[in-house]
Amino acid sequence: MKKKLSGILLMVTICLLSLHSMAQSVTIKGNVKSVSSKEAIPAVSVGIKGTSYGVYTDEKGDFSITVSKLPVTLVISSVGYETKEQTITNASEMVMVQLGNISTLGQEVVVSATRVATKILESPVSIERISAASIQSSPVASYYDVISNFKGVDMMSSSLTFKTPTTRGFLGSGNVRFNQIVDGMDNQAPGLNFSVGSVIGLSELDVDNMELLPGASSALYGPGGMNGTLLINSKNPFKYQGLSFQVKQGIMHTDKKFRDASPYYNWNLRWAKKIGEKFAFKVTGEFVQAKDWLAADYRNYNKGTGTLASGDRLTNPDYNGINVYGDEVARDIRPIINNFAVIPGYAALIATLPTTMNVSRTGYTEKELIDPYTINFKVGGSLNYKINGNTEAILSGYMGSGNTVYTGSDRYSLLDLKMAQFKFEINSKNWLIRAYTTQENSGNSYNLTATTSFFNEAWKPTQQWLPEYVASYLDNRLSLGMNDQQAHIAARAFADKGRPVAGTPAFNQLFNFIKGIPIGKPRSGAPYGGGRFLDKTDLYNVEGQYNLSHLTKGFADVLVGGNYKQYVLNSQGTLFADSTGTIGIYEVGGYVQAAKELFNEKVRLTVSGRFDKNENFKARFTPRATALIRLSKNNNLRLSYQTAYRFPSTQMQWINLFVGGDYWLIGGNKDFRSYYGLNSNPVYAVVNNVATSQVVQVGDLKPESVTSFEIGYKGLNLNENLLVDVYAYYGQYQDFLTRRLVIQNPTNAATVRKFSIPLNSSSKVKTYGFGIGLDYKLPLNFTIGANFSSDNLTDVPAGFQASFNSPKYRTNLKFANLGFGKDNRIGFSVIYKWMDSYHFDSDFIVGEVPAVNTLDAQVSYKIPQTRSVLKIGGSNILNQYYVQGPGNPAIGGIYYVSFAYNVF
Amino acid sequence: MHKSFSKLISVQTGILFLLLLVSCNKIYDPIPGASYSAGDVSNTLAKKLAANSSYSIFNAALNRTGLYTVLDQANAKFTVFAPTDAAFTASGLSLAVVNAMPLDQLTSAINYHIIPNETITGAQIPVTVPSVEKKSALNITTTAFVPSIPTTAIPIKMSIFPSKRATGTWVNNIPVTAADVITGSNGVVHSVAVIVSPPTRVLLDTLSRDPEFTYLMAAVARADSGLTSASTSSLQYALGQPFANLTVFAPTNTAFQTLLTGAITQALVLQNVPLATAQAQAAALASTPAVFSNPALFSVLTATTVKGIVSYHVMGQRFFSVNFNATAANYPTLLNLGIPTHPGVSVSSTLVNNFGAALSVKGAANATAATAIATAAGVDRHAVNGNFFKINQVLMPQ
Repeated sequence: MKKKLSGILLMVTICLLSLHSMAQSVTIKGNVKSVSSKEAIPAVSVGIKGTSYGVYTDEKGDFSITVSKLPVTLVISSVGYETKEQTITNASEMVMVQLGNISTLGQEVVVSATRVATKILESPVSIERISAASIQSSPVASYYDVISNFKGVDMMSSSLTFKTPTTRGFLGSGNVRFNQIVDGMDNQAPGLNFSVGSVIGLSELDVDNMELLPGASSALYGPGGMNGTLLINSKNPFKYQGLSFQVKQGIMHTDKKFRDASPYYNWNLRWAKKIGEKFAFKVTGEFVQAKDWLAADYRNYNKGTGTLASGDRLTNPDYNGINVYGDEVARDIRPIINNFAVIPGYAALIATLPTTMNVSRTGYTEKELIDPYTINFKVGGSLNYKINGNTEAILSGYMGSGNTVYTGSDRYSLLDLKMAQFKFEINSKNWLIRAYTTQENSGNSYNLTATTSFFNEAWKPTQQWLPEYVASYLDNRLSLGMNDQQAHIAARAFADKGRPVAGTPAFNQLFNFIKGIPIGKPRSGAPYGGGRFLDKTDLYNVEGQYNLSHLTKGFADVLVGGNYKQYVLNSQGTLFADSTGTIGIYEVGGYVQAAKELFNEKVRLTVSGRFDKNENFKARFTPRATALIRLSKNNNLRLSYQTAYRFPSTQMQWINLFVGGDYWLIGGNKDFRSYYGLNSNPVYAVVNNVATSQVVQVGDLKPESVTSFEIGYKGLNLNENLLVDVYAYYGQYQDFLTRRLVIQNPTNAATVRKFSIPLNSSSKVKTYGFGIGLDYKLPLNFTIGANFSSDNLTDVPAGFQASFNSPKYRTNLKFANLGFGKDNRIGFSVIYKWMDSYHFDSDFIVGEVPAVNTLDAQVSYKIPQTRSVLKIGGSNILNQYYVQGPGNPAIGGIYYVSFAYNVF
Repeated sequence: MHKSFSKLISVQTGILFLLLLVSCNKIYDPIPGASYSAGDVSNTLAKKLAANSSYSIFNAALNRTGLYTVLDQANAKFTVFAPTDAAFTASGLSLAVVNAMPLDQLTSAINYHIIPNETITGAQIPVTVPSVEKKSALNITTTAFVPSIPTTAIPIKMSIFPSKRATGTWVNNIPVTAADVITGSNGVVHSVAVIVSPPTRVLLDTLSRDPEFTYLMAAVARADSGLTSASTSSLQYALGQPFANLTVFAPTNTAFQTLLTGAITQALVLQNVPLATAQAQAAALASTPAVFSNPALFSVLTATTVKGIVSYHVMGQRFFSVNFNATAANYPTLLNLGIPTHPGVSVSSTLVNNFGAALSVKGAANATAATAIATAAGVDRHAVNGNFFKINQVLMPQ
C-alpha cells in the first residue's frame, strides 16, 4: 500500500510540473452582500463572462480576481440569488455587489443524471438533490438521514452510525444493488461488500450536495447501480473557505426502554483556505459517539424453516432468540435420555417423553455482548491546485474508524473498523482523470453467532453440557416432581452453573479471547477458533472521461470514459478462500454517451452505452436511452430506457466461511466446485431444513441484470410556486443472484456438509412503482411538501427469496419555514413519515416489519453576523420505536441542540 | 387521469387521517420470559400445609430441611403422605426431637413421605395385588447398601407402596387416616397415622446382622452351593440387590433348630441309632448353624433340598401384612418358579386400628401355621428390597 501511495504522489508532482500557469496583470477586488439582510454572502461565484475562469467569495463576501486586461464583464451568481452581470472598467475601486433572493424551486443544477451539469428540471431521469442548506435545515441528526425524506427512499439502520439507503427495493445493510459514490469514489467496502458512506465518507460540514438517482444507472456509473446511485460531493476549498464547526449535543433513550438515557455527541469541523490564487486545502473531521440503538428482538426463531416459533428461553428448551447468540447450537437430548432408561424408576417417565427433544445452549443477548457505545471518527482533507483557469488537480483522502454494527447473514460487531480512500484527480473543462484506492481493515470485527457459540464451547463443551442437562432434567422430574417445563428450566440452571455472567471479568476475559481469534484458526483453549475476521481487502481504480462536445458541436454532445478496477482480496482465509495468498480480481469498463437536441430544442435525446469485463465473467454491454421533452418552459416530460447489471460481489465469488453447524457459506467461483467436489460428489437440495433427493448441478455464475423503463414529469406550476415531480417505472430482473442451501453426503453423519451456494435464478422477477412529489411555496418563506411512492415486486416464484424488503406505500409530509421574524432569522421544519408494513427477507432473519410513523422537527435561529445557526431539533420526536428489519435495532428519538459556526 | 389523480389525493388525505389516529409504531413485543407462568403459586401444597395447624411439626420439618421450597413449586406434581402432629407424637417424635434430629436424617425421612411427579388422589390408589410401586423423593446411592455387591454408585429412588383394600388405605404398612386432606395447585396430601420410616438396608444385610437368623443365612449359603452374592444366580444376590421386591418369611434360629433336631433324630433312628443317643447327637449337630456345612449331613441336607426350603420362604413380590386378608389365602413363592403347580404358602393377617396386628403363614407340609413375631412397630420389618416377617416355624413345602 505504501508503494502505491508514493506512486500517486509522484504522479501529482509530475502533473503539477508539466502544466504551466497563466500570466495575468490586473486584479479586481470586491465584495458581495445580500440585498435583504445586508450580510456578506460567501461562496458566490465570480466569473469572467465568455470564459470559464472564475473565483469565489470568501467567508467575508470578499473576492479578488486577476484578469489580463480591462474592461471585463463579471458574472456574479449563487444558488438562491439572482445572477448579476457587472462590467468593470476601472480596477482601482472595490466592486460592491448586492444580490437579491429569488425562488429556488427547481433551479438547482445536477450533474449525475448525465455526467454534465443540467438544470434539475431538465434531468432526463428521476433525480433528487440535497444541498448543504437543506442538510442544515433538516431536523434529523445526521445528514444521511436526510435522504430518507425523499420519495421512494428506504433506509436501513443497522446501527446509529451504519445507515444504508436504497431506492426501488432491496433494502438491507449490505445492499449490493445500490451504489454510493463519494467525490467520484465508489465507497463500497471491497471485501465486506457494504457501502460505508455513513461510516467513513464526508463529514457533515464538508457535504456540498448529494444527488440521488433512483433506478438503474450502470450505463454511467458502472456495475452495481441496479436500483439506484447516491452521489455525495464535497465542498471545494476554493469555493468554501474559512473555519466552520458544528457542535451537536443530544440525548437518546429518554424513555429508558432499551438503555438508560444517554448523550449523543456529533462534532464537526472543517477548515479550508486558499493560499494565493492557485492553491487551496481543506481539513475536515467528524466525531460521533452515543449509546447505540439496541437490537433486542428476543422472539424465538426457527432458522431452518425461516419462521417464528413459540415460547421463549424459559418456556421453550429449543429457544433460539433472534438477537440472542450462542443459542443457535441445539441438539436432540433424547438419545442421551434413553441411556438413563436402565435405572429403575426412570423407564416409566422416559416412555412418556417425545421422540425428539431439542435443547439449545444458553445464549447471550446482543446487549450483553456488544459494546454499547458506537463511535465514528472521520478525518479527511484535500489539497487543490489550480493548474489554470479550467484545470484543477486534487489530492484527497478520507479515513474513518469506529465501532458499529452491521447486519449481514448475521449481526457483526464492526469493532475498530478502519477504512480509507485516497484519490488523485485532475479535472478540466472537458476531461477528468481520477485514480483512487479503497483500503479496508476490519480491525477487531467479529461475528456474534460464531463468537458466542465458540465462547460457550470454550467455557463448557456441548458434549459435557448436554449430559449434565439431561441428568438434571430427569432428576428434577423424578426427585423434585417438576413438570416438563420447570424441569427444563432447572436443568438449564444446573448445566449453566458457573456460566460466566456477561460483564464480569471472567466473562470478558474469555469472550475477548475468543473474539480475538480469527475464524477457522483453532488454538489452545479455543478448539473451534474464534469469530474474528481479518479482512484487509483493497480496491484500486483508475478512470478517465472526456467531453468531446466542443469537437462534435453541431452534431451532438459526445462524452466518452473508461475505468480499470483491481480488487485484492486479503482475509488470510478468515472470510475468503485466500489462505494461501491474496486473490486478485480485475474489471475494466468504458462508456460513450451522445446527446442531441431535436425538433427545435423541444426534445433532447441521449443515448449511452457501457461495456464492462470482469476477469471471471463474460463481457457485458449496457445501453441506455433517455429523452427529455420540453412541453413548455419549466415543464418537462422524461422518458428513459435503462439497463444495469452487477457482477457477483467479491463475497459471492470468493467467500469461504464456516458458519458452524456443518454449514459452509461458499462463493461461486469454479474453484469451489472442484475443491469441494460439488458435482463429482453430488449435492442435494434442502427444503425446509430437510435434505431431498433432488441433485443440484452447480454451474457458472452470471452477472445479474435489470432492464427498466421510466416515464416522468417535472414542472413548475401555479405561478412557479408548485413543483411537481411524478414518475412511474417498470423493471425486469434477469439472472437474479441469490443463494440456496444444499447438502453433501446427507446419509453419512461423519462426512455430511451443508453449503450455501450462490446461483442465478432462472425466474424473471418484475418490479414496478410510481412516485409523486409536490412542493408548494407559500408566502413569507413557508413551504409545504408531500410525496407518496410505491414499489412492488411481482412474478416471484414460490419459495424464491427475493429480499425485496420494500413497503408498498410510503409518504413524507413536510412543513417548513426558511426564515421569518426579524431579518428572517427564525426557521423551522416538521417532517412526518409513514411507511406501510412489509415483508423482510434476509440471510439473517425473515419476517414482517410493522408500519412505521415518525415525526421529525427542528427550530433554528440564525445569527447572520457570524453566519451561525442555533438549532433545537429531534428525529422521531414522539420516541415511537420502530425497526427497519427483524433482528435490527429499535430506533427511537434523538433530541439535540446544535450550534454551527460559519455554515451559510 | 383527472379521476385517478383526485383519487390519489383522497388516498393521501385518507392516509393522513389514518396516521393521526394510528400514531403508535408496533415493534416486536415479547418481553423475555413473558410467556412463562410460574403456575398457581398461591395454592401450593407448601402454602396450604403451612396454613394447616394439624401439621405444625411436619411444616417445621419442611422448613428446616428446605423441602418447603420444593413443595412450593407450582409447576410440579406431588403426592405427600403427611403425618399430623398426632402421628408424630404417636411415633415418639415431638417438635423438639424433630428440631434436634441430624438434618440429613430428617431430610431423608421427610423425602420418603413424598412421591414426586405424580398426583395420586385417594380414589386413584389401586387395589391391585401386589401393591403398586412408587418412587419417593428419597434418593440413596446403591453402594450405600451392600459393599459386597459391586455396583456403580447410581442414585436409586426409594420405593414406597400405596395400597387399598375394602378395610382401608395404606402406604407401606402405615394406615392412611384421611385421604385428600389437602388438594393444592401442585398435588395432594394424605394424612398418615404414624411416620413412614424409610428402610436403610437390603434384606441380605438386615438378615445377616440379626443373630436370630444365623441358621437362615447358613441355609441360604448352603442353597447357593458355594456361589457368592456376586453371582446373579445366587439367592444371596437376590436378597442383596436393591431393586428387587421380595417378601421373606424368616424363621428364627430356634425354628430351624427344632426342625433340624427332629429331622436328624429321625434320620439317625432310621439308621438304628437308639432314640436317646440319636436325640443327643441330633441336638449336638443342630446346635450350630455349621450344621448346613457339615459334610456328614450333606446326604440329608442336600443343596437342592435346602434351596427348596429356603425358596419356599421367599415371595417374588412385596407384601405388607396389611395387604393380606383375614381369611387365609395361598400365595406363590420362589419355589413356584421350579414347581409351577405348587400351592405356595397360605397367609392370613388381621388388623387392629388398621395396623397389621397378627400374621399367620402355613407351609403345605406344616401341621400348623407359623405366626409372625411382632415388635412395638408391628409384624412388618421393612428393608430396601422387601418386607420380611420373623416367624416361629420353618415352612415345609412337602
